[in-house]
Amino acid sequence: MINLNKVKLFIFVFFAVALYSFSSLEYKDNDSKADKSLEAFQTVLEVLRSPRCMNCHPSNDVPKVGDDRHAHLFGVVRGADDHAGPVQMCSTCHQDENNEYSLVPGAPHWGLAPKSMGWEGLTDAELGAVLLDTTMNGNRSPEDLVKHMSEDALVLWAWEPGGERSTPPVPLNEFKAALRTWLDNGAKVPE
Amino acid sequence: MKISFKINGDQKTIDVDPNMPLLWVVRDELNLKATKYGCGKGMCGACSLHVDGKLHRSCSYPVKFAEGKAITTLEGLSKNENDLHPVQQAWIDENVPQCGYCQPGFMMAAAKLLQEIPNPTTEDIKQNISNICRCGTQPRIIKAIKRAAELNNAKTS
Amino acid sequence: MSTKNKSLKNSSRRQFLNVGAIIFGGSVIVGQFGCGPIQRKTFQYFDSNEAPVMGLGKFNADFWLQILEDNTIQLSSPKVEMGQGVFTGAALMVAEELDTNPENITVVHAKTSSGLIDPLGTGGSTSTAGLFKPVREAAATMRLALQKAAANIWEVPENDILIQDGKASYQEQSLKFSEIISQTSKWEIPKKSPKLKSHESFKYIGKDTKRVDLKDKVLGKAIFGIDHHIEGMLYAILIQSPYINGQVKSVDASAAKAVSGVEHFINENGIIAIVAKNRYTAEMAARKVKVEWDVPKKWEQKDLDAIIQVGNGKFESIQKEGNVKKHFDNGEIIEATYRTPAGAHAFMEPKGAIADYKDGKITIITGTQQPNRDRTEIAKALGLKKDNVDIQCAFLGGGFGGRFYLNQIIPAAKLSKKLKKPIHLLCTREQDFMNNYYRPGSHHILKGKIENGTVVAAQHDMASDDMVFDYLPKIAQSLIGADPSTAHGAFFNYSFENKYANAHRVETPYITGIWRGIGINATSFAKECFMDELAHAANADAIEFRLKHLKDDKDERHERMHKIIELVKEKAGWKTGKEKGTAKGFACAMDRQTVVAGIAEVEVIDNKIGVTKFTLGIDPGLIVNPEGVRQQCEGCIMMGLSNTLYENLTLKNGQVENTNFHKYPVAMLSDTPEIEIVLHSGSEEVFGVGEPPIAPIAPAIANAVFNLTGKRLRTLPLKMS
Repeated sequence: MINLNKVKLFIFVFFAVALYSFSSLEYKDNDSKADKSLEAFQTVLEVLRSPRCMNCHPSNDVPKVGDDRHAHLFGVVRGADDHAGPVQMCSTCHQDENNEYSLVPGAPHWGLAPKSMGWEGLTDAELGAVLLDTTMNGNRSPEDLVKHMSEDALVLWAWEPGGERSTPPVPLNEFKAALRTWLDNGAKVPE
Repeated sequence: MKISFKINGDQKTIDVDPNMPLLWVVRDELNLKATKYGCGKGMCGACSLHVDGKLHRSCSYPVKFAEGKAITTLEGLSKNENDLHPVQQAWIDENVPQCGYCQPGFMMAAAKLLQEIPNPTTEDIKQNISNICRCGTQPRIIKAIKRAAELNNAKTS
Repeated sequence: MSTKNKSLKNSSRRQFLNVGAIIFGGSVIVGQFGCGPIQRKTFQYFDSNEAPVMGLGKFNADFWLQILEDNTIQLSSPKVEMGQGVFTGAALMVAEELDTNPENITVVHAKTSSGLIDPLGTGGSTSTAGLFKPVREAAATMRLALQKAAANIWEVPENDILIQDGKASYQEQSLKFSEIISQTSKWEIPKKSPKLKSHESFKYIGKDTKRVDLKDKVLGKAIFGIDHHIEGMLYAILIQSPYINGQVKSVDASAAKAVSGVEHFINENGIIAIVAKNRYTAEMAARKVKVEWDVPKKWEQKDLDAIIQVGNGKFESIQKEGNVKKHFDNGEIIEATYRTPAGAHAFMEPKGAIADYKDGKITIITGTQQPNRDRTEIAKALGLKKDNVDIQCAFLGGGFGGRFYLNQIIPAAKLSKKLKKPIHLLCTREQDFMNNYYRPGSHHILKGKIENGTVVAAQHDMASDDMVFDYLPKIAQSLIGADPSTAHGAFFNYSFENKYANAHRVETPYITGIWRGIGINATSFAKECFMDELAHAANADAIEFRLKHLKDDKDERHERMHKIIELVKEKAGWKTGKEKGTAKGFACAMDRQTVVAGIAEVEVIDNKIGVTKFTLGIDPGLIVNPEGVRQQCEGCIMMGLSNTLYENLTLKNGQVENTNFHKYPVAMLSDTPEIEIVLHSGSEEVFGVGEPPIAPIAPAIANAVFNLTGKRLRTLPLKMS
């Protein structure tokens, strides 16, 4: 004869265990997503911290130049709308493409990222926060971020900078994938 | 490639390599010699001119980007010799040039400066023009730009 | 002096004149002393006297003064205009003797084809001084000739004719100069040198006058060497070694030749060049020429610094007064070592030339400081008679001593001859920096001894490369011993009882040459900073200490120096202490007969030295155009400041590291201090102005930095860390 109580207990235990197992499974899955995001974020950071990106994302008002990231010569500064000026603008010397004669680099809307997007001196966590904070990132949704960082002509220039300039350490397609992975898995940033 | 633009009010069409710097187009194709070659790298400002009212260093400006635009060189800054642009008048009043080679670029930069900052302080002038002069006319350039601002104000008031 | 009667065929352009009055007699002092002293004395003569200012005498040349159809008077200047304002000064001289407003006088460059160019070139702060007598004599002769001609027309006594404001007048009648010319067929030129106006009666000389080239330069009409255009001209660019003393091993020009628009690739007799239908094509194609260079030694800056050391090279004693050695045998000796770097001229117009060879004759259009030498060199290189070489001088886009030797004119001339086309040859800015000659770097050891607040003995040893020595005639080399340019100002002008100065002539791997101020840049930096150190050691005020040592009755510059120091001190409000984050520093210098004194006021913000104010006093003798002198002083302050804070030509991996302005920063608008210029004329003679004011700039700034920070910076450019 079956002891109903035992059955009840069994069922209870079964469900309890199942529930527990299930919940822990879910927890484990979350855990691996976060890891994935964090890992991808490191790849993203490697790119963002390359001179090609960082030079135009200064935290102060001075654009940087070259792989040694020296201050732009001749006293060039940010200006009211991040394009220097008001007299000598970035476009005084920089046009929509690299200049094969003067060797002055160029790409569309050549200029600095807004000061709120200054990345110099930020920790990983701070940089991540700046990227995600719509009050600081130019009101960009995650989708907008991917678009900016993988489609904007000035950003793309970083992977084809010409001359002897270094490119970011990660190829564009891998960077784009890492960016997606980071954002799709919860846009985790280290604490 | 055929490229058309206005220069100092005249419509021109020229047939040149589209990547030829506007500097060499202006100097050698159009024989306007006030725009000078100084460094070829956008660093000295001797080749400064205006394209659609913006200041450009023409050694670093391929002619193809000038298509359909209006270029002003020093030769076209004043309406005529009896009605000088305030910058050129001020340059005469302050007896600015020495060798004179860098002066066209400085005057083009100064004209743009006065559009943006009609009453510049010494600091405004120092921060906003990075052209190079080797003879040492900088003290007079600063005075002349201030004088040009006065002339401008007198003209418009 | 001969009389020339010129029949004037063409009524619009008249030629005049025969005056060849000239100044310099070169054979000084020689032969009166033993060997060492001869060298010393001769050197000192060169150093303290106005250099040979004009060489026109032996060529019996004329200054062409012409009356143009519109009655303007045109002077063809034998000195070139490089910004220093010589045209304006010369116009004032003509104006004075013709009693005619300078606005009616135009000045152009004389052509070598007319034999008028000064064989000694333009430089050394000698132009205005050199022209002062001959140009006035020429104009005065013209005045007398016009007077005589007008007298003949009206048949009245010539002494009753007034020459003034572009016309001759007698009672109610008057004739413009141009009208006199059209009515005169036979000219009577006075035989004797004309009497010149007395200095007291000068009407134009000594008055502030704007530049005669002002309007053209402001309107963009001033045409520089490389602005010229000749129909059918081709554009050439040289392929030059980026390495010091690099020799071609192999050349591959296939890619360059394939560029559309490239007309010729030349590789012969040491000239490698791309010649194209326009400048852009030439330059882009030249970048495609692949050259393998044979580099005998890849020089590094440290190699150079090791060469430029006191004790190396050829020793020449250039000053030996009293017995320094005896005083240095005991007691406390103050010693300091100074260094200055090599420098580039970096004028804004890169070097270039236009050459047009036709029918056995060649015309060269270029901005040059030494057209006569260019002419000789081209004649030699092309196997032409000198008469068949015409150098047409254009405005120079800056000179600063950098256009005394032009390395691109001979290739331009040869290319034109070979290709039978006019050639426009222009150096890139990179070539201008990397394939040029430079002001040599220098090393100085100074020693001094003070007793009772007075310097009893001082010694200056200086090591540097030559600037002009190789260009001097052999006889002059053996007489002078040391390079009169490099070691210029090396000896002490202070009235120390015992003083030695020695030059150590070393050889650096690149070509060295003159640069505004020649040796006085380096020597006055070292000496005047050291003088400050001595004053500090003596616990004396920097200015009082100098005045105390400017007591030579036989040197009239000492008295003039007292005066100019007094004026500058007052104008600048001299104080030694710190005031609101700034401090002042003093320096003075005698450059030949000109005396200058300067007070710098500096600040240091974030370790960066800034000059907030510079007060400069100058006594250049008689002042022809105060406005022109002021411009030169301002120029020297800015160029001196640039040299003090930024300029530093260095070698790395066998190449000049400074390829363009980003690697050779110079003073900009943002560096401009407030400037005060004090002019004082302490002599009736005209002395130099273009270079002397640069002498006190660096030491005054360095001394101010010491007064502000307590740090004695002894190497140029000055860096706080």
